[in-house]
Amino acid sequence: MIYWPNTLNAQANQGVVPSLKHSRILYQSLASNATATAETDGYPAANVLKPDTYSWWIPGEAATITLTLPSQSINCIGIAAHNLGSSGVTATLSVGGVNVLDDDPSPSDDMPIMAVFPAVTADTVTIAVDGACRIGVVYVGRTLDMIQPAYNEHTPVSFAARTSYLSGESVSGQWLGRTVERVNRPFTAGWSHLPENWTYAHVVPFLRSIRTAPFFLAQRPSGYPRDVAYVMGPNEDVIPARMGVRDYMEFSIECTGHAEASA
Amino acid sequence: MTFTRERIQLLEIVQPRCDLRYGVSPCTASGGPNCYNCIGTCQDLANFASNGEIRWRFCKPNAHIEPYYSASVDGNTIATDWIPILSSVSTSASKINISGARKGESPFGVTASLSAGFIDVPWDDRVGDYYRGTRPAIDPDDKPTFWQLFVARNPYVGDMRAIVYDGYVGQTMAEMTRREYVLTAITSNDGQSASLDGVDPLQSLGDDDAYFPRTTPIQLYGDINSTTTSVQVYCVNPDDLSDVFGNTARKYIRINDEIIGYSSATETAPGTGIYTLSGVVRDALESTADSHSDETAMQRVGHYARTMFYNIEHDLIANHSRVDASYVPFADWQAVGDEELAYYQIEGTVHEPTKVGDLIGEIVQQCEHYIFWNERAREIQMAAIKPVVAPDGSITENDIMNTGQTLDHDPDSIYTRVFLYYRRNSPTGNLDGLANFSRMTGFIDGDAAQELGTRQELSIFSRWIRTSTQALLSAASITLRYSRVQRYMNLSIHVKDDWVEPSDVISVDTKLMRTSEGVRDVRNWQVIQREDKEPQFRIDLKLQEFAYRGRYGNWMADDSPDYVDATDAERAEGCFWADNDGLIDGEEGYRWQ
Repeated sequence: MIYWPNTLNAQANQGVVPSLKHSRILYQSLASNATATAETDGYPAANVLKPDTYSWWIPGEAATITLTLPSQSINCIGIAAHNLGSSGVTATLSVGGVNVLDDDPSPSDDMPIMAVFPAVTADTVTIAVDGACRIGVVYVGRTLDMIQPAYNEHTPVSFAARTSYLSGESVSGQWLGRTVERVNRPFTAGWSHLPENWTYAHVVPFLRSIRTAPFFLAQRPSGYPRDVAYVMGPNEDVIPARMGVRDYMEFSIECTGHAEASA
Repeated sequence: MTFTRERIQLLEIVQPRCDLRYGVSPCTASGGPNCYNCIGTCQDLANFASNGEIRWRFCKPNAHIEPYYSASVDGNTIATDWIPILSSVSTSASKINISGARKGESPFGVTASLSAGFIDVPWDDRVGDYYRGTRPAIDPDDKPTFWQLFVARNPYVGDMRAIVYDGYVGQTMAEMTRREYVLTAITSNDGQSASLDGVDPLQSLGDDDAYFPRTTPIQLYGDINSTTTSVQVYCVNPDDLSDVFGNTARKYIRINDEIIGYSSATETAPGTGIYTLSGVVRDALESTADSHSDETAMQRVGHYARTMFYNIEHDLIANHSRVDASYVPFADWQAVGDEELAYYQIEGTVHEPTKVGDLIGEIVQQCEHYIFWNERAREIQMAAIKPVVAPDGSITENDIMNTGQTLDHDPDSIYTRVFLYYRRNSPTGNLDGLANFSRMTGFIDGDAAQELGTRQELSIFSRWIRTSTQALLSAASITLRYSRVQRYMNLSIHVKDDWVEPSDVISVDTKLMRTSEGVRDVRNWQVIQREDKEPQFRIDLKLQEFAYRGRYGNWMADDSPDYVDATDAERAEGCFWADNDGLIDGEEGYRWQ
């Protein structure tokens, strides 16, 4: 789920930031340290700084985690590999001591979370949870705001679960049972009609980053706020191509979204 | 049972860890780099104390992951979270060789095995490194991977176990089915992937380091004649003279064809390596005393005085092999032996180093039982070879999965006559020669030979069997089981029938089996292999027809009716005396089992 305050709506309406119909991508993880008011043995706060999804910060109770970063402008917090939804937890997100959202998110599921807000310069980000839960990944940074919307024909990541099935039937035709095994959330994200200069300045650094680390993607925030993924990029380089129309370029990414526990 | 469930598979490596700290007494290591509390990095092996362990846990990359880390207060016992780098798990189940009679297979049948594949990822030693804060910084552009580090720190994995967990999302690990293996190798492949191999514990009984008795380099010191009782020997390792090989207080040592008994050995002077044997008995164990020359090679002899067969097997496994004795449910073994095979008190002499697996294989073949590794129970189980009156359960075509069934025949493993040679003339004589045995008992199934038009013979040369009754029962057991063409059935069942276990006897109703009149023939089959082909979904069974020539029953209570008044069920399960012609009311009489 992606959350944003009304002030961001105003900025988008004024053209200060691209329309919220356009994708928001968070590939920066600028925090360098993390501490918390509570930690369970083996699950320290520092685990949220790692991009993997099999280690967590587990406070075991209501607690606050504080991430510190070199003072700079940021506009997004990404949270993945969490169970805030299934734990019924409400999270309060603050940057530099100031809440960045109008309402504290109480997620209804464990899908990745993005909170985007008007850019602010800060050196601390805090996430306060009001109950026991676990959080695996936290990114803090500036989003890549796409200046064009994503392709219209795309599979919403929230529907993209791929599962393998084994169905048992006996010789006499009796149904014996079914076993399923989750695979992942594969989907394709693509953009076109991007000016070449803009592509070099903004897209290329992003594509270099995804060679080594996952990223957060909200494909169409205002239309589909649930469509948020924590994505592992493909096992090959993504290369933007000229469209042959003016100086426009296009690219697409074969993505694998992290499937949350309750998928 | 829920109709649809999401399955999950994990693999756990149990690695022993030292519970000492680097350079802290009694550890005398110094100079660094600090160890990783594993034997591969230990710099003070004499003090390595494997009282701790770390359980490395792995799951498939897309598995439903839950937190599972745990650590003891002292940090010596650790279990990691599931690391999602397991790419594949392939297992092959053990296959039982009933009576050790199937040709081309060891008496233990086919041992189970495990192969697992992993992807490899950069690893930051986030778990289990006490000295992580003191390590030098790693170049971020040249990070070592998990398996590169694991292999570098653990060149030897024979002391580790692998456990495969199969279960469903929502279950705890304790609720999941577990299959256990002993590791044989872990290979790191260029930082991209790794592989792991494991086998069941019975495999190690055939290893080169599992001999009974082990080779003992001992020499006679000084000439002796046939009556000399003052005997001295030269021996480098005093354990070769003092270690126990068998179950007697008296120890034995062979020189040429003679076996000498002794009670103890004392070094004449410290550091000389010359020992004087005390309590010397010449021509021990029915050998012949002779003269022997100085420097003649000598070899410790293993000897078991009369005892139940399971005591010998247990001693061989627990004290003369690398198999973890905790895998042996000895109380269960005793129950099988005492209740069903009480007449097999045996004794034997092992005059030269012999593989433990071979010795146990002799005993299982000759004492009407078999042992096998049950990877789910994580036990070396024992079962008696005997007819059963009622099967352990039944399956029909409502249970057999539509993945294909096959029926095979093995015409090679037929025995219409079995001869057992026993009572060796010389305890140091060869086991494969008629000339070295003074007794022989055989069992012949003439009807089978006539029916098959052939005589198939098996000769067994036994160092263990002592009585004609034992020999007859042993020979009869094999003959009655194998005197007809062995049939094997392969089929699959759903995990809902998870109750089926190796060695179970089950009734199978399938259209594959027909009588001569074309009617379905519902028969008993013994499960000799159970393979979790698709864990938590499909189980492949290999069944051996459970056919004994004859009619068998159980001893009945005192107030049971006579045959003429018995119900069909009582006649099927009970046992009644036959007439002098071997018939009972004109029908086939019962065989004593």
